Amino acid sequence: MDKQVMAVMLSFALYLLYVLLPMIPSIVIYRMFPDTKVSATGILSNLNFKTTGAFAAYVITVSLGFFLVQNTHHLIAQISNPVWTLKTKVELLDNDGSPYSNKNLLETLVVSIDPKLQRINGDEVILSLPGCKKNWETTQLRFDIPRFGYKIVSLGDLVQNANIDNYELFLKLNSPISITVDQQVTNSYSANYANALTPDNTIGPEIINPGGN
Amino acid sequence: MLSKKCITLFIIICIVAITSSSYAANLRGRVDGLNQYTGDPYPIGNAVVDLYFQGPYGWKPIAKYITGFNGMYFFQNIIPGAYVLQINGRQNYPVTVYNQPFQDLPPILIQY
Repeated sequence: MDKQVMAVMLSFALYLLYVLLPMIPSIVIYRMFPDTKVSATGILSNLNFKTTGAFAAYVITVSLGFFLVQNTHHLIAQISNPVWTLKTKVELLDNDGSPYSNKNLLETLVVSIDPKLQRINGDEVILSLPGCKKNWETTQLRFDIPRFGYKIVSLGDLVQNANIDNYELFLKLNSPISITVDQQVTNSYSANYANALTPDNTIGPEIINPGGN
Repeated sequence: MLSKKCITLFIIICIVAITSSSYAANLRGRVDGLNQYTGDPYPIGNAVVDLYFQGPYGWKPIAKYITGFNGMYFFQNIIPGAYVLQINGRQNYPVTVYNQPFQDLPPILIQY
């Protein structure tokens, strides 16, 4: 069965149970204690209510079940769409904190996630499946621009300042990921030929191309 | 007596903390050739630079880079230690990576 169809059916079943199940204590109260005075008054979703009898028991049970249904509904939503979407802006900074002029570098940005989605350990393949909130604290994101700089951030820290949509499984970070330029990019390489490396083929791996260019 | 012990313990803890904190260095270097007529160096592009580390079972390649038009090569997150750079599979250059975030290696002058 398609996951989205299953999620819809589960949602429907959940609300059916949410409406019907609280009727059981109401009927029991109505049958067993018809003369007992039960009443409930209060504010529910900005509406004043005042009920008595079995219907009061129903309202109380429905109210108590509201939070349970909310959490269960989030779990059902994750069945249909188990992948979270993260949206953020990335800014490039110079060493002094000012914006870096060449924004075209962002086109070469590589974002990797650790633990990786797929890891191979000997004869084992380990897959990390996204969508579980409890793994956020131990997940790191690496924003890497080759030969410019990189930033490693914990997903747990990122979500502290993010809008989280549990139903759509969507994370929107409120502040950008700042990647500061590496020193090696700003300091040009100076070749001092007096200290040039000297070849020594007696050390190191076997020479694989002795006569090549 | 007790204060002496405390000071000794504190010094040992400091030494262990300092020696155990290690960077993964970003390496940078250049492969140059020598003009056979003028003797001037010039950058060699498309040179294959392999970085080897000696493990328990012999030398193991850990990174590879093909130089660009400027002859530069880059290796990221290299743990401090002794390594060998192999250029185009025909010459080995021992190098030492130090405990610092960035390190410029001396140029490699290839003379064929």
